[in-house]
Amino acid sequence: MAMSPERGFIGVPAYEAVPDFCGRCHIGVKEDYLLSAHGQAIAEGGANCVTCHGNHVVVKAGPEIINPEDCSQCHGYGQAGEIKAAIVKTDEMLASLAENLGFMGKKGIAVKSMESETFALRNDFRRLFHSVNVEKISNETADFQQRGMAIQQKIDAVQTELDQRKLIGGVVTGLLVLASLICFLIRKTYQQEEDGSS
Amino acid sequence: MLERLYHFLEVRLGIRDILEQNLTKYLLPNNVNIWYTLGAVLITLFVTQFITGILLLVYYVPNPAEAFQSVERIMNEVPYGWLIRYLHAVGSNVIVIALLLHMLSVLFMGSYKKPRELTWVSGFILLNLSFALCLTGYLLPWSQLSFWATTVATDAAGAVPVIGDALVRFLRGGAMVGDATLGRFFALHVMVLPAMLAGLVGFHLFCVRRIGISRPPFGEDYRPAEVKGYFHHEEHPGGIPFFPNYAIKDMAVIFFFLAGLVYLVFFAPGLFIPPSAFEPADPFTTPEHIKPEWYFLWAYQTLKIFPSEFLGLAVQGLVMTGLALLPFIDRGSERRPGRRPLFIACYILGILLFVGISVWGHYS
Repeated sequence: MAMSPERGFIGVPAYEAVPDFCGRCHIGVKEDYLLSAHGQAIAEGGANCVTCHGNHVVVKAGPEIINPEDCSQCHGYGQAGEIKAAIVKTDEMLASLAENLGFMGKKGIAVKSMESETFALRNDFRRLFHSVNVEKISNETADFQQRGMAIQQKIDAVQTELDQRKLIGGVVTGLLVLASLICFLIRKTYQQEEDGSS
Repeated sequence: MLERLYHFLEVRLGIRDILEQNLTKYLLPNNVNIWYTLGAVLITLFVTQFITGILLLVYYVPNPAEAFQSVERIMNEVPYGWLIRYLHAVGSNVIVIALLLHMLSVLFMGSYKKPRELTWVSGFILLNLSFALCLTGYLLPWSQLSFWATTVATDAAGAVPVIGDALVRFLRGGAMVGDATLGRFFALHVMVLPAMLAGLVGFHLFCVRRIGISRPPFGEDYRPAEVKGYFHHEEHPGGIPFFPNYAIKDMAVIFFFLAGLVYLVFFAPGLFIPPSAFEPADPFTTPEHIKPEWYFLWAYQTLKIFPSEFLGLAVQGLVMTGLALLPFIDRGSERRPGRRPLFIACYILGILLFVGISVWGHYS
């Protein structure tokens, strides 16, 4: 019953229908894919979503998907390495941005807008992976790096403020300890007077 | 101008006499020690809580839909809002530390004994009022931590036979922690409990001043004071003046505690405010390990040790009642720790149990 077409069960989509199937949710990614060399070649057996991301155990978009073993089924053995080299540094930078923002969020810093910005940037960047054009990837990577740097600058500004807070906190703590010591010393002089008079 | 004002007040109120009687001519025992400063430390910390609490009230919105965002705004947009919030939240933990130290010192020196029973009982109620303030304040940020910690804490009341369920509903204002819970906890936290606390602090200080400060039970010449069958203010002729001789020691310890508070606020607020305190409450996602604050861990673990929660709750009730009524149970006049071996053995065992069960609760 659960697999009844009347109840909406689709079953295994045809090879060329896979992008439409996945694109019901991943709308932007589908559009991007269809414009890429992979999408353009789907009628001739070009890679569809499942070729790289798998089906039930879906592999998230990331540099690890691009590897000579899988890609060399259609492309030259060296091409995967070239594309990977063009994207890996930027992808790492974006991953590190997300990680730093996660740490800051755990300290009560409002990072939601920066996190959304980084998330969107990372998604957009990973869509580039659909393209098999190394030159295009290299050109567009520079723009992503710049946008990533802009977020990094915001993080740095917050970090600078956090460091300044610690500096001020250290000074205030030191002054309070000093005030405490001075009061103890004054008390000592009173104690000497008390001992002398008794 | 000031001189004229002073003269005006002096003629009408006799303030010189009041100041002399309570400052320069108010004599303390010669051997008064550093533990006697904790009262002044606590007053300073409570005043800090009051001021920071009022400032937080300016921006806090007591509504589940907006509470978390308002706290986030305080932390990130309001000038020095983060500092005020941390002073308030971390300060509450420092107050609990000071309260426990104050109670332990009073127990060790036997200062709770006749004729100071009322001072002890009011102090013990103050400790519990402070716990209630901590519990009610914990929910207000409406974070994952506060929501689930309050769910667990109020759930414990369900172990009371017969009226358990009704009690939980009464505490929460419904079956679940929600709008009604936040409303009543807010009212308790900002109005009812502080008013009770202020009144009781006044009564506690009145008792201390009225009956006279107790002499520390140390030194070769110490003898237990004779307790008379009528009111008697304990004097300390030849003692040290409260002002300036002892007040400066109060100041020294107050500064020391404030230094500790500022250090924690700037360098280690995470000790008391874990990451889940910065996630908005989600009634549909239960965090993996919900633990109460460190000072409630002993109670939390006690409920788990016993075969039934009711038994655990009953043991907690017995311990707290025993402590509250201690001056009426331990009625001997001897206060020297060396001459009270049974009490001191229970005292040390009690501290070890509290620490041990709390650590167990933390890692359980």
